[in-house]
Amino acid sequence: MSPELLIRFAWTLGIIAAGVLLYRLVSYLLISRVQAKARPLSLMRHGTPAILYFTSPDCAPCRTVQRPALISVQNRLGDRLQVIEINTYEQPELAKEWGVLSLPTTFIIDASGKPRHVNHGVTPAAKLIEQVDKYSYDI
Amino acid sequence: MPNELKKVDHSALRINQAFIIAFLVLGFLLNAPLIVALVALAMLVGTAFKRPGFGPFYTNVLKPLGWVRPEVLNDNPEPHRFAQGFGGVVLVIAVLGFVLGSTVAGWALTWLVIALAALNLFAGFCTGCAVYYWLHQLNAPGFVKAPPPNTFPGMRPKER
Repeated sequence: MSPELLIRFAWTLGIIAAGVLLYRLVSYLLISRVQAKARPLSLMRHGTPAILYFTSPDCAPCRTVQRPALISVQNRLGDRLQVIEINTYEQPELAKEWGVLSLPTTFIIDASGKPRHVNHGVTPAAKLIEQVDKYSYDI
Repeated sequence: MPNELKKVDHSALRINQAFIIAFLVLGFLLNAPLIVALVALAMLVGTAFKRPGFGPFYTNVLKPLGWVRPEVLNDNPEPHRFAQGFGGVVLVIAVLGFVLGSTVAGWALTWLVIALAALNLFAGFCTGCAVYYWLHQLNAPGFVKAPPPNTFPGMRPKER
């Protein structure tokens, strides 16, 4: 591999890393805003971590990938997790309150009801389990 | 003019963005402004024909094979065409930068297009569409379409 190509490869990785950092910063700001402004969900069982899943009937990746992943997570964790599905057509105000801009969006809520993490787009089951585990103990 | 929405296949738009990103990154890695010029050409020709520049890959290959499923939403196609055309123009300016010897400016503009395409692909926010709707609010001539109902300007519509 030529030195020039290596340098360009390093630049590419650096720019992508900067983009990822920026994305994480935006996600952090969004979750801070939700923690400050969103009202507690009446559907939530206190003491149980939850995944709040925003979807719509015509969201193809929600139907084909995200919902099966959430079913898998629910089957794996059983009563230790609550999955709350919100249809944004039926509850547009709630989606607005939680700052949902694209579908699917999933929020990880800890056992005290505090939103701790947001995933924009499809998130695999393994990653969701990892996030739920992390915030189940970190309360 | 009434804001009549049309059926827009967002899978076609996303595949187009993925191709734009892939080819432009490849162009940067190989230090090949020619690839940037070809992407600009594809985007501008696509805009002229009212299609995504790399739409044929989706229509003729990925969709028939079932590798990508259509996601048809009620949306305005015009802002997406404007966004693609705007991206194509930015790449033409980048190519002019290369030709005139300003490679830093050329690659900076190329990375700008990559970043905006990635924002659209991964976060669902179309900056060019947002600019279109902003010009619509300012009553700029030709920018006649308003955002779909319950949709933040530039974001993907949530309603069918």
